[in-house]
Amino acid sequence: MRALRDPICAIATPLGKGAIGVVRLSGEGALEIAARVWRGKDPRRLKGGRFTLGEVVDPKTGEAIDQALLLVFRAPRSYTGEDLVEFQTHGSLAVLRRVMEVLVAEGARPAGRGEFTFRAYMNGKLDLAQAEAVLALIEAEGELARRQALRALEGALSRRIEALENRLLDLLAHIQALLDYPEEGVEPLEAERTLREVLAEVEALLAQAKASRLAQKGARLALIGAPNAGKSSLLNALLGYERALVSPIPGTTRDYLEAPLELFGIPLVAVDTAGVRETEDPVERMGVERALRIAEEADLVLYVVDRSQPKPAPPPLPWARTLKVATKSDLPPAWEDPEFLPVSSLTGEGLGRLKEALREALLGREGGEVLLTERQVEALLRARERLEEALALPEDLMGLALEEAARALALLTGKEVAEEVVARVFQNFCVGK
Amino acid sequence: MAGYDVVVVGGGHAGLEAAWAAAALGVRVALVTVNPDRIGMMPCNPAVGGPGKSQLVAEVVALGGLMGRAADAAAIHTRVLNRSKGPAVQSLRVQVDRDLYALKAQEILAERPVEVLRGEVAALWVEGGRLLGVRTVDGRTLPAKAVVVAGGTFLSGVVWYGRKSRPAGRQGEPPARFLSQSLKAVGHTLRRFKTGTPPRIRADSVDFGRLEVVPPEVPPGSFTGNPGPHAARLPTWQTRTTERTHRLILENLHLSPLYAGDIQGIGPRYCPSIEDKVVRFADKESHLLFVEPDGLSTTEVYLQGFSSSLPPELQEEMVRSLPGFERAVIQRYAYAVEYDSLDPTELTRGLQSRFLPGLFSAGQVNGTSGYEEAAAQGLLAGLNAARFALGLPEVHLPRESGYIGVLVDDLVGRGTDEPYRMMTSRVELRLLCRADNADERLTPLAVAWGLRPREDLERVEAKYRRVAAELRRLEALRVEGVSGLQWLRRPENTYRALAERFPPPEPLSPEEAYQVEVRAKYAGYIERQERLREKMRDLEAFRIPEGMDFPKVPGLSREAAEKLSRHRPKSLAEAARIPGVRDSDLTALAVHLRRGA
Repeated sequence: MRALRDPICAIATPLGKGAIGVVRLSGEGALEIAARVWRGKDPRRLKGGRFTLGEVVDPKTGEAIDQALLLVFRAPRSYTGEDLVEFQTHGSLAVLRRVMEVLVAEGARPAGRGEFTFRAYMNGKLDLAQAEAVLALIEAEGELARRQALRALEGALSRRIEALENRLLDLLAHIQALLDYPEEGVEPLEAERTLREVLAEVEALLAQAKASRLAQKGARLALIGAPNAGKSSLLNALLGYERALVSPIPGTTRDYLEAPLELFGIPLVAVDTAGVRETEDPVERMGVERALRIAEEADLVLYVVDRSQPKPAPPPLPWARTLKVATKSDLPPAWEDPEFLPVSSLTGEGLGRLKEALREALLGREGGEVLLTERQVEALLRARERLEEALALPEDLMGLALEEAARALALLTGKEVAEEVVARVFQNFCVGK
Repeated sequence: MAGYDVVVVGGGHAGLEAAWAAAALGVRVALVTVNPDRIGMMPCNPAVGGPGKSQLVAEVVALGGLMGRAADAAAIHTRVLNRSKGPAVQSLRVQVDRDLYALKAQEILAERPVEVLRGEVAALWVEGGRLLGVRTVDGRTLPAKAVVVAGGTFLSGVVWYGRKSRPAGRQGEPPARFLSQSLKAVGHTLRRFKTGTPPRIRADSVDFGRLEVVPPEVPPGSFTGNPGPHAARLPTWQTRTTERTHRLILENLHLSPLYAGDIQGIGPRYCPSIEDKVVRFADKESHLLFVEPDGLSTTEVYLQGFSSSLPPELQEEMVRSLPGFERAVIQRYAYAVEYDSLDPTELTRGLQSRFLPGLFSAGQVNGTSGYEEAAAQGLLAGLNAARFALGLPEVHLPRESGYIGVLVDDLVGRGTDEPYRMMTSRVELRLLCRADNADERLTPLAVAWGLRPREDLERVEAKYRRVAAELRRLEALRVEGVSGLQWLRRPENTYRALAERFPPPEPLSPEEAYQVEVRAKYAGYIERQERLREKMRDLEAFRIPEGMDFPKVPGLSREAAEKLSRHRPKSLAEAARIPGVRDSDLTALAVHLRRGA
């Protein structure tokens, strides 16, 4: 059951590009949390119904996230009947998500579906007719949970979460066997190694979460390479139609072209840049610098080199997220390099493998068949926090921290943590007299 | 004919506390037992406490119960377990002299006017759906306003030695043959549970020189602050099973009633027989066994960890395969016992029958195992039985109040399909509900309910006022550039060192100093648990009215409606703990309750 008073937050405006975006924060301690992420007038000193201009900041780094308006509504005179703070930022999804992240890091919880309305109702802010709407929401939530549970049964990702949970429960059972049966020769704990392994798996899953966010909001793909290396042809081949202007004269793409395309259900924006080469032409040089900057900002870079020509010196690229492609594989090669994926935009050779590589780079090895929901991400973040803390604790407190981590995951899997632990103590350990 | 307010059936650890608590309220109490000399007997190992259980004893003590007093008075050896593993799991175990314990328990009971009657209760006396008392086998009727059934393993008890069985409640004692029928007639569901005991060995046949010695702790610990005169008198010992023990067991498994399928009862996972251990953990070459003296004169030792239902002849051989027991003589053989227990989900949180007002039950009858679990329930059932007789409403200990609260909530809220044992991991708020602060948590309730005198509360309140004052002093104190509290939070620092450098105006007692240290060192975690407790209380505050028609609640899934109808939770918090009830169901329920309000 959700708590009834703890601070909750949510993005209140429709996702997508809008001029402004709103994040709402409601509940006990909302003003204190707001004060911690706010640079400007202290929201705790603001009267209800007033607003102030300032910046949302990440209190851990001091970094400013966005300029914003902050509105304060004081209990009971707010939508929810609780202390409520609204942040009005610029409408970019990236900004809104960052605001959510810092609020969660400071102790707020992402609201469940309809939870703001639910609280409004519970605090007597809605009348009976409106309550029907709340009930409809709850039923929808139940339906959603059912569908999610159904899907979770099949998902590879959910199996990973369950495997993770199992390791955690086994570890908890071990701690508990030691604590409840201190004299019975239960082997000592190697908690740190297990904890680190579990943490690594949580990190891997969260990386997956990043990939799935990419899948929801789209990714930018930059094509970088020497003039006439075949970037535009490659883009056309990927797109399946003539989008970029293809000509054999180097430097045709002076500036850059953006083309939306969809691969594996992920919206991509492919950015075809000007060729990167040493040049005297000032206009072209501006284009080159711009191309390198675009590469910096892209989620994924395709470094495109013509294999029929001598290999050029590599430009400074973010290699960790760069795929290397050798084009014109239908022509006799001037060099071989296994790091490069040979592709011919003319014959289509290698395009399938390139798409596969793109998919893996964007979604990770799991293939992203099951995308992480916000709920899953939140549970994993919570679990990670407790696990990191657990590393430094004596056994009984470690048990409590792990129990909280396990309970966070149990929200996804529906397991009964206490019962599971008791069952495992007796399954895994020869204790009891 | 003399009538009683409360009749307690059974003189075990549940019955004792029930009669003792009921008598505290000044009502007329009778305790009926087959054998009054055996009131307070320990049929299993002669020890009280241990992880999870010592917390129960601390709460029983705080609520004015007698178990802690009896255990301290009869103690022969004490040990603090998990001393270095944190305040939540630290626990005391007290070995007692078996006979002395029973004697002390009977002496304490005699401090209150409880009438002890010899007899076997045959039936509840019910007329027109009202409980009027009990009837005994020899035809007597005992009128009573409330009855507490604390029959232990005696309800239709069957004792097994190897594949031979006979009706008995314990070794050498007749079972309660008829009471089960009465409970069934009232509407209760009975199940067969099973438990076992190890063999008792003649002490003078054991070669103690070959055993590993565990000395008693000096100074000894105690539950009440008053260790008894013999509390650091005797050691305990340890030995191990050998290859020969394991071979004997594996070659003769077919002689076990469990492995042969004769016993249908469900045994506790945490009390495995030696057969179970050898079979299930085949890779373990040897199992540790605990040799516990039965008492000061030690004519008998208890072989803890060696429960068995194999036939007596084989037990001889098995025991003699243990180092130190080569010439051992078994005084009493190990046996398994099967008995009736009722489904505790059919009880209220005051341990009253949902079907028959005035009928209460406590202990193994409710599906638990262990003296401490029995005592805790006995206390609550006895208290509520007396209140029932006085026309007062039932009182409860909510889950967040401590171990007894968790015990009752688990039993009544979710039920159990094996004998239930208390474990620290079952208690979410174990950092708040420690043994060391049971007095602070429960004395106010004990006094309000009439279980303890008002002076006790004044004493406890004064103690925690001194603790609070000292914490305030430390917060204001500057030590090495930080506050005294922050300084104390460093793992290497102790309150004692701090108090030596910066003495308080008046020195604290060791118990008070311990409170200060725990509260300072674990402040962050304690605070987090306090938030969790707040959440539990919020949900607890949402009361669900009696007779709520769950299938009519809009938005509730059918599965949830069915589960809620069966468990009949009294609050959202209770509903939340029923397996299969989801968040969306609770939300729907909350909206519905709100609408009704």
